[in-house]
Parts: sequence; C-alpha cells; structure tokens
Amino acid sequence: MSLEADVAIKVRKALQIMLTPKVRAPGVKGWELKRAIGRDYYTIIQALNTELDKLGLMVKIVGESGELPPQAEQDQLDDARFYIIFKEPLTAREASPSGMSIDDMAALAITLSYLTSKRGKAPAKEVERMLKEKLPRWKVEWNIRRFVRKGYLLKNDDGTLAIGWRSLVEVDFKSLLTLLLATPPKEQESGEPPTGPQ
Amino acid sequence: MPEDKKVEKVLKIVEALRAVIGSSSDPFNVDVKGQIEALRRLLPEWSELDEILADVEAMALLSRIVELQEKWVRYQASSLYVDPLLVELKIVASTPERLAEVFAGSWHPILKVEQISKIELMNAISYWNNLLPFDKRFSEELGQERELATFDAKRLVEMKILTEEEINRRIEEVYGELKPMLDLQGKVDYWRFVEGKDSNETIARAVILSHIVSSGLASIEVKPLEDNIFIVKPGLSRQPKSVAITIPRSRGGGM
Repeated sequence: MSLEADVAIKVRKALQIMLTPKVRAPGVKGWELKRAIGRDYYTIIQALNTELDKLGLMVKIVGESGELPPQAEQDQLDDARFYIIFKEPLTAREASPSGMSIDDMAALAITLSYLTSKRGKAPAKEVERMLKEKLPRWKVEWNIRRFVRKGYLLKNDDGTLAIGWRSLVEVDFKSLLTLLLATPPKEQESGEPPTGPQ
Repeated sequence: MPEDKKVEKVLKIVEALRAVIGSSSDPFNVDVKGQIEALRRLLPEWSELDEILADVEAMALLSRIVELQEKWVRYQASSLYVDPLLVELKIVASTPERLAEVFAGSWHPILKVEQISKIELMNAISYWNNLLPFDKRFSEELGQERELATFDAKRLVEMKILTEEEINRRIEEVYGELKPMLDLQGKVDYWRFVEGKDSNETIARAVILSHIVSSGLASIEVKPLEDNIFIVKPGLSRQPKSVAITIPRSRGGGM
C-alpha cells in the first residue's frame, strides 16, 4: 500500500473516532488516537485538519487549562482531548436553531467575560449579581444550573464558579473580550443622540 | 511579648495567607517582605515542635503567595487581561441582543454525530427482546402484590399484638365512660367522644368504640346534611348497617 493511501485510511479512521458519539463528553483523548492509528497520530491529525479546513471546520486540542500551543510535548498531546469545531463563529441569528435563545447567549457572554476578567474563577454570588443586571431573577439560577450541566461552567465546592471544559473548547476568549470592549455605549446603540453639556 | 501572644501572631499570619490563597483576590495585597521579617524575629524563640511547625507552615504559604504573584503578573501581561471593572461597565451598558452577538461571535460549536450504528442497533434489539415485562421485572425487589385486608380484634389476638383480656379491659373501660353519657343525654357527639390526647389515642378509642357498636351495646347515627355523627343507644336505628368513618391523622390532641 502506498504512503498516500495509508495516510488517507488513517485520516478517515481518525475522523470516525472523533465523531463517534461518546457516552460522557465529545472529543477523544490523544492516547486513544495513538492506540487506534499509531504513534504518528499527530501528523495524521494535521492532515485531517487540512481536509476539514476546506469545510470550515478545524481540530482543536485542549489540555487541562485550555488550548495547547503548537509546540506542545508528546505527553501533553497524549493527555489532551481532540475536538472538531466550527472554524468561523456564527451570528446570533445563525446560532439560535441550536437551542440557544438570545437570553441564553447573553447570559453566557456575561458569565464567561466576567470569569475571564477574574482569572477564570469568581464567587457564584458575584456572577448571579451580574446576571441579574440583564436577566429576570428566576432565570439566573436556572441558567447557571443548565450551563454547569452542559459543561460551560464548573461549580466548585467552595461556592465559586469557574470556566467549564466546554467553554475552553468552544469559546475564543480573546474574541469574546475584544467584541465586548468594542461594544458602543447604549445610547448610541438605541439611536438616541449623545447628550453633551448645554 | 508573652509566649502565647507570639504563637497567636504566627497563627494570624497563617490564617491571613490562607484567606488570600483561597480567594481570587490580588496576591500583591500581602506584604511578603514584612511577614518574612516578622517570622525571622520570632524564629529564635521557638522551642516546642508545634511552634516550629506553625512557622514552617507560614513560610510554605508565603512561598505559595510568591508563586501566585508570579502567575498574576504573567496573566496581567497576557492578552486576556482586562480590568474587571471595565468588563462590568461594558456588561451593564450593553443590551441582551448585543451580548448575544458578542457570545455568538466568539463561539465555535463542537461538531458531533448523533447517529446510532448498526452494531448498537442490533444490541438494542437484543436487549429489548430479552427484557422482562414491567410487572415481572420488579417482582423480586418489591415482592408479590397483596390484597388489602382488615385487622380485626381476632387477627390482632392471633398475631399476639393484643391479648383478649387486654381488649376486653379496654372495651369495658370505654363503655363504662360512654354508658352514663348515653343514659343522661340520649346521644353523644362521635368526634367529641373519641377524641384523645393525641391522634394515636383517638384512633385507639375509635377502634374500641367500633367493637362496642358491633357487639350491639351502642349504635351510630349519621346526619349527612348537618355533617354530624352521633353515638346513640342501641336499637334506635331501623336497619343495622355498617358505617365507615375515616379518622384523619390530624384528629386528636386538641381537635
């Protein structure tokens, strides 16, 4: 079998393993890929990434504290989890068929940007206070419970909330903060002229 | 400085350092140099093992604070550092629609396939075919369903919960109380008569009264329209019939 054909088979195998439904959480561990497609699995993943790029998708490799840098060690790769994600973000309108309402997305923007500014962890009471600025009171606790269940947030025993595994995979925190800070003042958004000194 | 005051000072340092490490507050709020100086001054005076261990713990926590300070500097120098106050102000100033756009603009959902494979489908069919019907599935855990039954005095005696003497004594006791009332008033309010100091006693008196009525020593008269039940002298009702009276648990002990 030629090298090209061998790589093509391994790329297909890697794609199958990564997309197969998992019992607990999506994605696949590096050591699982190594067991299935061999020691050169990272090269195969890079080849798969090239193919996925044509479809607007990409492979994201996430360790315990976030995305792994390109120069990650072999041990780090083996322990990391490999996911296929959308390369380009969506608009709020495009995202809504996924089951997320405008309020849900706003709540996630508030929670994750606040936690990021607090180095990834803050008391749950503080997060609730921030959410109550924009959401009905009854929806706040309900949303937090849901986000914890889905993996967007992590609830610690000491009463703090932290950024969950799914957020580390799905959210580009740099973009999140850049977009939030670029938000124009409310008055300008609503079309009212800014008031100056008389 | 007295000995216990010195130990207390070290323990206070340990508590304060733990509080900083446990929270997400700024580790630069700790005066590391000042604390080390304080510990250095106290060190020659320690002789007990507990005192030395407290000093070691304080030093270990101070080194952890230095580590946190390094991380803090690294984070502030990173592209993700934003002043929390600025983030709060931006959140307050934004509409939910704008915040939803902010999230969507940084969201890259995970791709996954939710489809059952042929092997999983075959496993599911096999599982379903081997599954026992619902009523048989839990019969071992729950035991067989039994018909409802009544506990009469005979059954209680058979089960050795009550003795025949005990029942007779209780019947005589209650009847001794009821008879003079019936002789005097002709009829007695049922609930007022059975009421005991608690719900258990109320139920017990109602059971004993049912024995008295069954043995023909008294009778029950129900006035459904007035919602009243009376105990009357026997033979006053035209046709003997069974009457069921439900006693709620709330009855008894100050009805």
